[in-house]
Amino acid sequence: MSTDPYIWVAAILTLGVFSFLLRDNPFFCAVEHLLVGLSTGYMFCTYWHNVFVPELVTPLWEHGAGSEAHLWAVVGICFLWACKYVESVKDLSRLALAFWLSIDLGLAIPTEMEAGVIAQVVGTMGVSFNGPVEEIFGNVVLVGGTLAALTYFFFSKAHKGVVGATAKVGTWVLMIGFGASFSYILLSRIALLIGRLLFLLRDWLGVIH
Amino acid sequence: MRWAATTLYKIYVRSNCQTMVFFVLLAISPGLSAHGLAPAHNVTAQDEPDDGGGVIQVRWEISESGGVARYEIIRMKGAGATDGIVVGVRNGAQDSFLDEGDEHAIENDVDYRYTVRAVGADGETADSEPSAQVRASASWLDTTLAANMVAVIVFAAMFFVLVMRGRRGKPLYIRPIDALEAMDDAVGRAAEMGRPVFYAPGLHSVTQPATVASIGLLSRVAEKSARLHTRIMVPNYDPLTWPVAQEVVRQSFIKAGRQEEYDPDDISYLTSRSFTYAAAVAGMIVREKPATNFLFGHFYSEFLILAETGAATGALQIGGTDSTAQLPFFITTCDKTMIGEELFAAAAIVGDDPISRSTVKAHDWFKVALMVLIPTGIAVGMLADFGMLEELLHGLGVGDPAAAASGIVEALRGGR
Repeated sequence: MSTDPYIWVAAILTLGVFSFLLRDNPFFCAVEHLLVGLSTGYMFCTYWHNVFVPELVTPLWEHGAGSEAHLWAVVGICFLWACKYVESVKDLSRLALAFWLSIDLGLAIPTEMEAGVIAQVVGTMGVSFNGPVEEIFGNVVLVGGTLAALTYFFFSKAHKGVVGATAKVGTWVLMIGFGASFSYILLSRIALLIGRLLFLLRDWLGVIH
Repeated sequence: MRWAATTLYKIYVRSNCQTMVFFVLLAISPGLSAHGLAPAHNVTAQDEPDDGGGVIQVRWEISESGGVARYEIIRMKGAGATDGIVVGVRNGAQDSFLDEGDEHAIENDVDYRYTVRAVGADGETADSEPSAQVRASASWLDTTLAANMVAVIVFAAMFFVLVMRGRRGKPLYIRPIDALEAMDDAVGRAAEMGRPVFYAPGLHSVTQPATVASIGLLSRVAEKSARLHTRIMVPNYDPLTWPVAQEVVRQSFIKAGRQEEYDPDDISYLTSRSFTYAAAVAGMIVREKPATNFLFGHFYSEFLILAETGAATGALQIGGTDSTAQLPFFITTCDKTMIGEELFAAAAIVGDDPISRSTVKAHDWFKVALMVLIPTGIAVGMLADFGMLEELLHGLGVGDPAAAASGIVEALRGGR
């Protein structure tokens, strides 16, 4: 059995989380609140020490009024955001939110288009039907499945007739894909469970080696 | 010099005057050893295209003498400068270096020249002739993303055409989505049971598409809950989604005329650690026993904990996500599921205005374009596979059909 106090704390907290499998109980409740408090506090410290102080406070402190303009813009946005807590001017906080939303969404559009559309289309168009039979079969399934799945996500027509039949094929393709994904991810979860059990039985109790 | 020695040796072996050549070799051998390292040559430097500037590509032809342990790439600032700084090192077999100014930044629109210094194993060095002057500059357009830009322009054009049509009052049909139609009944179930409604808006930031859609659906659920005097609980993962969710729920309660029933504490921030969030939400679900759980947005591996806990408490669950990895778990644990883009379409239908519906329509038109483009691309690829593409291009009067066919195949199978 381990004599390391950190191992003991980790093991007790692990058992606390596992106790939820039986029913909700004060032990789990205590561990849950501890986790929430710790993680939020940790996140605050991370942002404070890694972002807020070195990226904003320190440069402003060192250069004062001569600091770069964008830092003052950030300060302005921070104040706008803080207006949320003053009833008479709280609508100003929406400006900060709108600024941030528009910048982030604008940056996301090319990335989404590249990774979510262009790369997929090029990958599908690039298949070859000039090879071994099994490769040709695989490519037929790939292209046919892609077109059928696209039809399923076509919202401008009711799923009736040809569109409905094709969408039905698309549903099957999706479900088979989800089934494969489900089993794959389930295995990874079992690996996580084995990891925790190993921690308890080997690192804490020392009953296995 | 090594090539010279090799050539002389060949002459020595093949010629009839071996003794004479031997003495010539003997005479020049000290010189060969003293000046054995040849410099790299034909050093060229050019601005890296399609970037924001500050990057220069340097190329050279490797030393003919061999025996080079490494090349040191030296950057000289200014047209007439002879001294420079070592900005990179390459091994003896490499012939290029991308100077990204990691340690010594490159200024845009400033003249630089490069020299490549060959360094032998014994420390002997040989400097190349400097490259021609080069300037780094920022590009207005990244031409490698041309397809991306065309796709965005086409999509935007479709969107604006459809918005104009929608505004003129032309009805925009969107097929029913099962999970969306079940949402009102699910809130009604909670009202009948006298239990709260639970809404998780996902783990992504409020700027991500799935969260934007989720917030749209939240307004519908919150308004229905307010009308039915039902408590709605929205625990948040993202600290910036939290105020947005608060505002949306508050507006929905005002719209329903139940402003006094709005409780900001029910729209709470928990934590931004996924499994901690899952543990906290699981605890909330078990203690509050909501009649209906709505799980819309982007989730990660913690989702199964949330949904399985909800299912174990007997709650009706309706979910939707754009996360393909988590969709199998949505389908197995939720009574109704919005798969991928159904989530976005549902959010647009809830909006019930021409712009929202036009977005879905534009997506559909774009999908039709892709469904035409994919088989066309495959057909062109097949023509190339069977050697018919060149003939076709020749028949169409293309100047250099072989190069054109090669370019098309490269675009289809090797790039954009």
